[in-house]
Amino acid sequence: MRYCSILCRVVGAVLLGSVTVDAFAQAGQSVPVSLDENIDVKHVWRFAQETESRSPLPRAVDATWVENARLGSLQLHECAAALVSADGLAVTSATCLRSLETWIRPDDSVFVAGTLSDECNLPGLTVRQLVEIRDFTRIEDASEDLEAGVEAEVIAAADSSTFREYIWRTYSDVRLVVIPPADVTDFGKEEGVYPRYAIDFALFRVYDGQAQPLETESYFAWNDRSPFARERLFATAFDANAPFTVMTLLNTFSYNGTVSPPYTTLYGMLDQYYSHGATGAWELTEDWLSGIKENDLATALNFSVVGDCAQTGAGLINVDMEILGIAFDNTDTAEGTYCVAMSTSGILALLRTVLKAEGVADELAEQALP
Amino acid sequence: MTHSQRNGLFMGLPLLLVALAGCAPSAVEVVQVIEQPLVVEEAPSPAAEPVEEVAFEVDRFDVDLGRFDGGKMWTFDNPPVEWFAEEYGIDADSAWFAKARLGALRLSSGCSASFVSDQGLILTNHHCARESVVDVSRDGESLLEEGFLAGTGADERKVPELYVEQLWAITDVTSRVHSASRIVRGDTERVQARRNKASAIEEELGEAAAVRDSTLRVEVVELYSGERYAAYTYRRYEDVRLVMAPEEQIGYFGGESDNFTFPRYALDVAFLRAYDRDGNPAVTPNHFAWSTEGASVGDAVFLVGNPGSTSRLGSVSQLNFERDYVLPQQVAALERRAELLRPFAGSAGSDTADALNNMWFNTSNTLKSFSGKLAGLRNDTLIARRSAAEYQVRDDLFKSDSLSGRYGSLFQQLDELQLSKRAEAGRMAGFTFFGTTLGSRILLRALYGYYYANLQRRGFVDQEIIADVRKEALALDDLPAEVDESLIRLRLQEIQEALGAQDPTMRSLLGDLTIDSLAADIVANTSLTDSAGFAELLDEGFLGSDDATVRVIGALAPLYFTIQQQMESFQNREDLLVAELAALRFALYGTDVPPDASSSLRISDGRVDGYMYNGTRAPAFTTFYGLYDHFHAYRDISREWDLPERWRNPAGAFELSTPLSMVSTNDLAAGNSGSPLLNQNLEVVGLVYDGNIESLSNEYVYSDRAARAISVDVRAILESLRHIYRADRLVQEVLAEPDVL
Repeated sequence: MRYCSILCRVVGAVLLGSVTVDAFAQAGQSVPVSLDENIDVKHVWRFAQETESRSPLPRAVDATWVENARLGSLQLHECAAALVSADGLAVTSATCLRSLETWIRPDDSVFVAGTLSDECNLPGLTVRQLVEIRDFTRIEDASEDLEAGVEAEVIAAADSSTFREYIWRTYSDVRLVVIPPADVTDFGKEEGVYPRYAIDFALFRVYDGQAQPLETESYFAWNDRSPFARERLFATAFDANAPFTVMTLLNTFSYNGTVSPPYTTLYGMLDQYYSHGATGAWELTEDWLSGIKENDLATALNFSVVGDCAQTGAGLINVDMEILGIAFDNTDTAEGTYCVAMSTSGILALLRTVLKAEGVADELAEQALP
Repeated sequence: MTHSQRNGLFMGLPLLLVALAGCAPSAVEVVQVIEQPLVVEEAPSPAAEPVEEVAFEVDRFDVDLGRFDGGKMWTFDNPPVEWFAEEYGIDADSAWFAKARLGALRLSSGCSASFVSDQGLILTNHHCARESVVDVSRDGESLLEEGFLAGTGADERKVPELYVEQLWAITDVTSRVHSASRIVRGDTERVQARRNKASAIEEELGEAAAVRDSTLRVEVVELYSGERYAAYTYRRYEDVRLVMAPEEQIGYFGGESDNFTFPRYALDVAFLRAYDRDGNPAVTPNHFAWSTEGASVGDAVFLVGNPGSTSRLGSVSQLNFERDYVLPQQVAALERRAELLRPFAGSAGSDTADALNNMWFNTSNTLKSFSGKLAGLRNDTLIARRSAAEYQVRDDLFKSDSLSGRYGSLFQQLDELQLSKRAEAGRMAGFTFFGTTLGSRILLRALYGYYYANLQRRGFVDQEIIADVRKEALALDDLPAEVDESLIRLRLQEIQEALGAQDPTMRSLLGDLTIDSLAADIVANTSLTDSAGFAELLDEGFLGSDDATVRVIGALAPLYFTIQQQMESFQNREDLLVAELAALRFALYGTDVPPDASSSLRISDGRVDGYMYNGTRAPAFTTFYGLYDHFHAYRDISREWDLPERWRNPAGAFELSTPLSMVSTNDLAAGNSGSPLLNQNLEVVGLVYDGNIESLSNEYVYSDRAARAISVDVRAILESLRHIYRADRLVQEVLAEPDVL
């Protein structure tokens, strides 16, 4: 099984073998005992930078918060995604869908589902939600007779004295809602670069076993404002199986003799378009050009946070469980790796103007299907 | 920006610091002079023992010598007619070059500029006119902040003491100058004889010119380190008035952070006007027409202005000394100060807050500039290219008996001189930037006090000089005591590290004290914390006072001046050798290679082009869209990208896609700020205001790979004049439209 790492059991099958390292430790980094001893996070924390590891977690970040953040996050393929409505709508990086083996849509096409019935099945794509983490000391306590659509994975500590079980709910009915064309998701055809001006996102919907939009209580509220400089953000992702959460900071870095912008804007995208002579990697179709201009051009487009992206497609959320961005690329700077993210305010604006996806935009605003 | 005043140069003691700039002895932690083995295969010294050489790690044959490694700052004495025809297919005849020369101007403030109308209208940078804007401000006005636009000719304001000069004629006076030195023996004496003669010719021709036309001035320019001399006759316009200057916030958009960088979005522009002696706008048929089309990617463009100097023509051993000693030590000293001052970035609201903020910006910008140069020198390709070029000179030199006889040991002498400098560099390290405003004001005042007392004691020193020193000393700004104390501490640590803990100077200075307690003691027991206290002490006799600084400066200053003197003598020797090297190059290659820049008029050719940077491609242009992107994106973190009120909501007709800045491959140096960038029809397409960060290493080798000159696009100027400033009068004038009003 491709999800298995060191020791793993899928739907009851126990695979035990010799392990030489502590699998708990291997799955992530240190557990933050120094933070709040009262939080039983059952969860691995990472810190994008040492400075973050020294600052306390905000008070609101308790066990419930962590669990909600995890439940709002999805694993797909080698990417992550974030649920953004009570009706199973999720956002990820366009790359995460385009890189699917079963992806067949042409890169230069745009897709917008005007209604639920227009949403287009993504065959071969299964997404998973980590619904429970259980710790026990006897392997016999592992789950048995799991219902359909549920998978469990067990990892053992090095001496097999303790075990941890991850219970996943899997969804195989996943449908495409919105994806912009590649010339804007990949604007500039740049990789590992910031300042960046790409419209890199895709929206899909998770359906339940009865072909109904998944009803979920765990999702992130869509934030439609531009981010703040030095805003504290979190990302939840799955490393090789174990979930982990990164605490990071929206920040600038030294580059090119000056300082990078906290975020870029639609103004900047048009600057790139015109500066490069409206050709090549920076070309825009007339629809996009005029559609972009209908927006408040000061709307944030991309921003950078300290540290590498937890996972492509991971949602960047604030302490209030609002999503502000979607991680889509890393950039190496003189001050270490930074993660480049797509701003949710930019997405919302473009949904209403260029993409004419009013229904989806309303759903994001209302956090549920209208 | 390339204007020297804004490059973060520190005010220093000019009389004390003669040697600091060039040979810049100031560097290095603890230096061991390691005799490196000779690794060069062809030791080019027939006469002497093998020379110490720094290893050239790159095979000399692997390096492509660039035809223009020495640069492209061509003189008008010897214009590159054939090259322009070959590369750009243009027939640049003498009339073309005369037009390019006569439209260009030099501002008395050190910048470049150009005439852009037949009524004496002058185009230059905002940062070049910055002082002028301040000078013409009246009580209650803040023109720097609010900008200035003269509605009518009568509203144009005369700038006190500002003048502009137009290069009217060029005469070769080489043989006259050289005739004076033919019979003189000794290198130093020969140089002096030539310089004396050059001054005499300057005076003679100047007087003759003034008889013909009292606006003419003559300046004899030394080229190829004295192998060529030319008399440049300038027409001087002494009545210059301010016509238009935008708000500093847009003129200097991006602030010190964006200085030396591209992509860039500053409207660094100002207009002046030359008036004749009758108070009428000067009639200037020689001016550049304004291009409404602007330039496109790939277009040939010509930069005409007055670049200062570069370090492209010295020896590789000099570069190595710069790379291994001078710059690392300066960068380290700057980094320590930047760290100390960083908390005060952006501080304002009082004189000391301003002083700290200025000091921080000067430090960080000088650090940026020096780090850029150092990074360039640490790039193997750069040194390899210079090495290959030097081998070429050595090879060519030994093909000629007469030249090898005269210059055969030249490189060896330069190499050996660097070894002597290395030996001294260790002691000098502790005094990097000593005697400049980049440090404790208390110690600096003490140094002034020491110097002032010694000048007075000598008796034969001109009273005017003494008065100037006193005036300068009393003009220093104040720092808060705790900052001054940490700067004193830093300096004492640096000196101790450079001299070693057992050095008698430091031991006697410290006695039983630690550096921390000595610094605290100085600050607690001195009157030099402000100018008032300092003035009193100067009157009473500083050295005789019981001020805590007297003992300290009494120990440090003699050491400092001794080392300074030593480095100065090295510098004099190096100047002579470099002059010989220039003479050798001239003997070998003549005028095929342009002489180093000399703050006189040059024309440099290039093309509009982007470049690879930051993992992607920098476009050749930016637009107003990018201006607004930066305004919004940075608003949380800095005021440097803030916009003046009238820019916040431009009229609908204002076209945001108008090109704002433009980059091109033209060679440039400090002093080129304000230069016009011309197309091949000699229409102005841009206004040069800076070089990008990659251009800093062009100090050593000209490269057009990523180094670029940055200009304000004329289309952006026009768009702003029309829709932001509604400067119809000015628009009509630059477009030479008939006056419809």
